[in-house]
Amino acid sequence: MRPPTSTRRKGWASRCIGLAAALAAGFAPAEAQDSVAGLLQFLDGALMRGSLLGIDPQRGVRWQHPAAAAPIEFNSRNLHQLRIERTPTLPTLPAPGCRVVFLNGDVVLGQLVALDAEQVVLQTWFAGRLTAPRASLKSVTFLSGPHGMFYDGPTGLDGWTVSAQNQFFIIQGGPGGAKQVPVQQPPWRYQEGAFVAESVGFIGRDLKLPDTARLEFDLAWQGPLAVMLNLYTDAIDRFDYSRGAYQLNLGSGYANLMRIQGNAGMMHLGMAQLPATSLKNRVRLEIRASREQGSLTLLADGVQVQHWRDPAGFAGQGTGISFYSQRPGSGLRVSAIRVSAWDGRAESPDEVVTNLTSHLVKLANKDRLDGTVQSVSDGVLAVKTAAADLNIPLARVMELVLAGDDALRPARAAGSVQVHLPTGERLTLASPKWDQAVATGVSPSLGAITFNTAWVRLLEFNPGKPVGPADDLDFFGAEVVR
Amino acid sequence: MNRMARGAWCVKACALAFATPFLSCASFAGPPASTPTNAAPRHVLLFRNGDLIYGALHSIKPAEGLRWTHPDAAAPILFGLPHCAEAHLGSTAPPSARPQHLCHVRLVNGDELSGALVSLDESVLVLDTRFAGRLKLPRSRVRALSPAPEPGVVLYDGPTGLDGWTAGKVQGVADAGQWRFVNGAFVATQSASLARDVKLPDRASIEFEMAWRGTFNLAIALYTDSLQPVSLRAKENEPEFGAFYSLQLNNPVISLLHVTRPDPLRQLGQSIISTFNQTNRARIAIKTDRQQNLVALFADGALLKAWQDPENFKAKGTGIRFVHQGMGAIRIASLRVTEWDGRLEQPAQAAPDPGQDVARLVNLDAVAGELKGFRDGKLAILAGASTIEVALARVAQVEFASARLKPLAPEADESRLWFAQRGSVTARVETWDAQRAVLTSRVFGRVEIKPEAISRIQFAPLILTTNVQE
Repeated sequence: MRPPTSTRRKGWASRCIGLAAALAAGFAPAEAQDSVAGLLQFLDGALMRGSLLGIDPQRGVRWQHPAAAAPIEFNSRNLHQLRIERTPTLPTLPAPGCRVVFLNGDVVLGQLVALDAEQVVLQTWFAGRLTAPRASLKSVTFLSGPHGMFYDGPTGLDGWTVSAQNQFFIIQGGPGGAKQVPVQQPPWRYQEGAFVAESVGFIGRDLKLPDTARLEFDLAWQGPLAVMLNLYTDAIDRFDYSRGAYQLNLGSGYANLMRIQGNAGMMHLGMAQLPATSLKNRVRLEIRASREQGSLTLLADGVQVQHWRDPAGFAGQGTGISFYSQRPGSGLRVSAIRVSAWDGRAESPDEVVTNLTSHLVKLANKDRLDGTVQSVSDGVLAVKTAAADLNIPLARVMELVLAGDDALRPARAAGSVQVHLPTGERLTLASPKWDQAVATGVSPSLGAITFNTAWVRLLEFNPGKPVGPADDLDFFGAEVVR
Repeated sequence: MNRMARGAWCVKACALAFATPFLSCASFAGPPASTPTNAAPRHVLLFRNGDLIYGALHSIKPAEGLRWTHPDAAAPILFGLPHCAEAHLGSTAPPSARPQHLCHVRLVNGDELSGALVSLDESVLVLDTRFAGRLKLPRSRVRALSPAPEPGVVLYDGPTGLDGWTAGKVQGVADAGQWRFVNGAFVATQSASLARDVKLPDRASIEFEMAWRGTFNLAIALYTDSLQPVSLRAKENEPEFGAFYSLQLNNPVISLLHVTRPDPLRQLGQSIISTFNQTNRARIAIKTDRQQNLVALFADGALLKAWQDPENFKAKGTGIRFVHQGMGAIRIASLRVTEWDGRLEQPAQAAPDPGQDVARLVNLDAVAGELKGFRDGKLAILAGASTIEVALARVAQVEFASARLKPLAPEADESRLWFAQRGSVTARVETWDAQRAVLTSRVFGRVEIKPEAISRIQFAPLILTTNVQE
């Protein structure tokens, strides 16, 4: 539930102080590592597990593959991304205050310390105080609610519940004749950072899903896909139709969302075409849920495929999830599961602003102002409108839109990478360098940045370049499920 | 002649021993758009942990490992062999010249070698192969020999493009697309139809390599006179078309339908092929025989199902049509339509007398006895008290006396190498580079081969992932 507007950002400045103190205390990772395990993906569809040893503007990405006798140095021109597989232990951060979107697509959370005609000053949790030219800003959204990562794994079966919905038997011969013997093998097992389905059954966990949440995972399979994902359920080891939850049925080429409501049965909320599950044998799925909006949004490989709005309001009564493998021998593999807070806003705003000639101020009471944002200082927004100069307490402000969607994006410097943080932030860095615990680079907006590598969850090397196998489609041996 | 009953021996043609599964992967003629153009071959290395990397196989030395070149790595990368699962090396064009007495020889370990039969005596079979010259194969390791039939008249050999094909629009679906010609293959990822009048003869063979991602629903119209797709649900509303057969490959179910415009669909039978869910490629062969009312479907040499139309073979046209029915990504390559001689390669079957060799003839007769040798293009078989000479051209297959066979279990340091055109060999890779490869086989010893003869290497299939030390 959104707190009352009047109190939403009450004391934001004091939070800044708290944040500064926290930074001073140091959000250092528990241990500095020489290398970090990850999954390196290439634009041509290749992928290699291994460890990142370093990144250097001249030498490229230094990678240790488990099969390689020595570290490999890859030029980054054909790299797609590097997903870090360790789980960062995030500190308890103060509320970020605002979400700043830059013209180049970068997103930073932080406290808005000051904004004037020339620059914006942000207090970030990962790199301290940063300054950017005002002209590089696209929008500033003021936030409330939880943030951060709630789960990042799996790293094993601990905390997860594995169960078969039904007992399976095999017929076994013996001196006394044939008899039914229950299958002892659990339906799911853990292997190298993934859950692998052996037979029909559940794996679930109470992940304490927040009211607005982002659930992401990789899915790989063989043959037709047949898996159910139960969301916001408190029955993580079985089907339970007596309590509210959602069930997402994933098949080859489609996704069905079902609403489960006690005493009311199931209701079909709609089907989405999901070509990725028909044409490929792996996909990264992301589900964004909002209790407040009563909605679930499904993304496949970063592209939104469906947005469901539950007409009866959000049904989920639990905070857990479960995967139910429906087909034995499917090689179904679930990995890189991440649950993080979501601010409830779509990446692409519902309202596309393309012909902005001045600035747009969205207020908490849904009012809007056209004008020129002058400054933000001491918790007050100064905006010049045609009618008057206004000073508005930030607590009443939802969003500042400073540039339209048609604003020119600055060119991306060759060799730059986009760094994704576990809090949903992303930063483009030229001349990136990764040396054990320290990452450095030059943001086109924020200048030189140094931060701890422990906070990085993903590096994108060539954003916007097409990814995947060549058009002739690579069809390799079926033994490989990735 | 020790003539054997046809019914007992010949009709139950089951698994053909084509043994060409996974005949090299896709053509690697061109790199993807995102990769800089590079004249180097584009090979693929698969690891046991599921990783995959493109590049080119540089060399193999078992004591050191496998070296791999990558366009974005400055130097060849050395990988430990126990971690490597497979290398896909692309395929080369088949030889233009066909040797005399070309045979396919199946060994006790499942390998298959192709070459010219040079000689055969009571202990050794000599095969002249394209990849390694003459090989001496102990008879105790040879399970069967199949003389390659003279190729029938080739009606189509491709694809080389979309010319001559008719792209049809699949009606009634929202996302209909087209088959595309990409790197020597037809590829479709949406509902699409592609047809051609290939002048199918009464006995025809249609072979192609099929690969898919996800799952697949593919309908193949046989003997159709319409180059446009026919909606089976509303066929009465379609423009006039003549009767045809629709072979439905809907993973994992295969079925054959007889389709006419006015009559109800006639289902001729279906089977579930569970192996389609365990792989994503197969060499498909469809054999048709109008006189026998027969349509037979093979995958990787194994007969999946043979349908016989009880109401006789009723089809009006001579065309074929591939219809992607909306599921999966499908790739069709190496499509070859030929006249068929009606000869089915048969699986090696246990003879009633395991001490006897059996020669199955083209006319479906069989001769059992002791195969004494091969000379002047003829096999000499001692049957009873007399020796029978049979021209190799008349022989469909020879099965060697099972009692004299010595099984050959694979060993952990052996790899399986798949030839670009057909067959495979299990051997230890002693060394490999761009010019030559040296293999040691427990059947025919140490040989030097041309690397381009191999399309795929399965490294030590016996090594399980769990044994890999990391």
